[in-house]
Amino acid sequence: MEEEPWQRVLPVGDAALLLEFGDRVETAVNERVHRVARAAQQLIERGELPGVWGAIPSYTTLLIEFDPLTIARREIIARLSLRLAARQEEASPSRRFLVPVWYAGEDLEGVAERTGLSTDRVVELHTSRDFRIFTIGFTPGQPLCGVLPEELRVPRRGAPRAAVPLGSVAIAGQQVTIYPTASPGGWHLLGRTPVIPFRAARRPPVVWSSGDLLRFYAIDRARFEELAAASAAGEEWLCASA
Amino acid sequence: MRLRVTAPGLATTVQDRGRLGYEHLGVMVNGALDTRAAAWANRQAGNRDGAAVLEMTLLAPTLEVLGDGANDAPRAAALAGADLSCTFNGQPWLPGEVHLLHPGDRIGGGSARRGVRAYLAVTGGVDVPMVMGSRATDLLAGIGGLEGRALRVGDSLALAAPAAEPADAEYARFEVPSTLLEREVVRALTGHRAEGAASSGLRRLVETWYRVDHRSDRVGLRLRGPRVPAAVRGDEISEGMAIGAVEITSSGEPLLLLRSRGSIGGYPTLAVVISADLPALAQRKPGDRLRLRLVEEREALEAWRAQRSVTLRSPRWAVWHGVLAPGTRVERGDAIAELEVMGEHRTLRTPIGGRLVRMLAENGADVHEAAPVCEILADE
Repeated sequence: MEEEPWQRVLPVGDAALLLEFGDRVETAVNERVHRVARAAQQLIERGELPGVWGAIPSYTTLLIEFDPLTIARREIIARLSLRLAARQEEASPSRRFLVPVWYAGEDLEGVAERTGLSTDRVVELHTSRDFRIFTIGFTPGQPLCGVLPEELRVPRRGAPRAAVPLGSVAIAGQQVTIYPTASPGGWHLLGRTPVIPFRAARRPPVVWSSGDLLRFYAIDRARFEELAAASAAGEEWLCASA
Repeated sequence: MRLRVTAPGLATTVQDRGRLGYEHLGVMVNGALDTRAAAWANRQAGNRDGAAVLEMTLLAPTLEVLGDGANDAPRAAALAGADLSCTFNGQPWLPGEVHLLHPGDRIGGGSARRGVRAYLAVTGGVDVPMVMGSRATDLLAGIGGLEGRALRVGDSLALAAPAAEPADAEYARFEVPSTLLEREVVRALTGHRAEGAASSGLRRLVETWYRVDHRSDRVGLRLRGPRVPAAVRGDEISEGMAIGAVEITSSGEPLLLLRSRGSIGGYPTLAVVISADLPALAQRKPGDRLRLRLVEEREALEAWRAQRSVTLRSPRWAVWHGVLAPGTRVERGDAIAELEVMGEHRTLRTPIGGRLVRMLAENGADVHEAAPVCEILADE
């Protein structure tokens, strides 16, 4: 049998396990995470992992949550391994989303100062490359992306904001994110996007998936307001290209 | 029948067993924090364990029962969990007691005497729209429950029509669970990030009496006390966080994650509270003492099995004819036996959904009133 795609299996309390696929944020490791996460999700949906009720893929790990009175850890691992051996999961092709941003964030100047770059250069660096969605989480639909170029990296803010405005596009360390809800946050805000990543009534509820790419582009305030109004009216104007 | 809110109480929300299956999209589980108390309230109201209830926090709301011309027949309301000095038409209403609701009745509350969270279940359940498979309120995402928020003055909650039942439905009796309201020591397993330098942090964590900080909420309990040293390296890669995980923040403060936690976090997990003790965390209020005690996984699983296992008892003297084999899955209302009394047969039903673990009564033998007849492992 082929070697398992994970490196370690760690118990997490009495009702979860963590599969660890590597210790670095990189695309190859993350692709393995999502390949196994998709297999787990399919087994759950087909009722072939009874007792398993949650699976949370992240950058380098997959957390699986279950009822230990219904299924044991080794049984979950065995069924996952079997499934992976029987069927090579195709990595679903990445889609590329063009995401408009009005670059007038509260921390744009601060980031420019800390990095020694002009605000124009910060925007240029932020809009001139694709960012991979390594995982979706913390809040519904929130894409956790990377990897920021070295020259644009700044550590998290010392004091997190109690409420980050909805749609904020933010950076911290090597990561990029969009805040889909007004939530607390300690990242640096570069600007705002009128995209609404999560709507409970939409199918699927989240516009993008892990593994997709985000490419940001700059818009002005007038265009932001126009698109935000369209979003508020329920219009789905964001398109993906293959 | 409806419930009109005349005073909202504190963070009163509609909750059920939670929104499962969407964590990979960042959608939190939510649901009743004291799952045990919510299940007990539901059982007493004649509902499934996971039916939608009101979760009340420290200060109970004031509710008025209104008739709406449909389903106005009296129905049961049960209270479980914290003792929030609730009242029914002005008279004390203690957790565990059931009242029949009629239009015009008033439900009130005073100060919290014991515990934090009380659950009000009404036959049929609270009727709010299902969002992604659940009626649970998610306050952060603003979905589920009543418009994704806590109750306000003037809100009016619809109650679902009670499930149709056979006229002669007879249910087995179930046990009243013991209270978890005043548990100061909760059991935990060693976390998967308590390696290397963090192992001394874990020792500190379990040797210390903490106090629950006032910044605690449905996301988690923050603990006030000595800081846990050397836990955060600073280069952690964010990962999925389990419910019950005890994270150590960069300031060295322990944070116990509850059912409204974000799906992903970056702080290291030094310990994880066992499943059986999660309901006890829901009942710790700011200022209360709390301590973690490390146990082995075997103890965790035994405690979890004991908590989920319910012995059903016969409602009366009869000759027992069991109709199900051990291992069978049952829903509330499924027949488990025929009771033969003076030559007449009546169907005995289970008040609890789950898996039939074993029969305790022998076929053809007499069972007395309150005799144990079978054991059910209740659904999570």
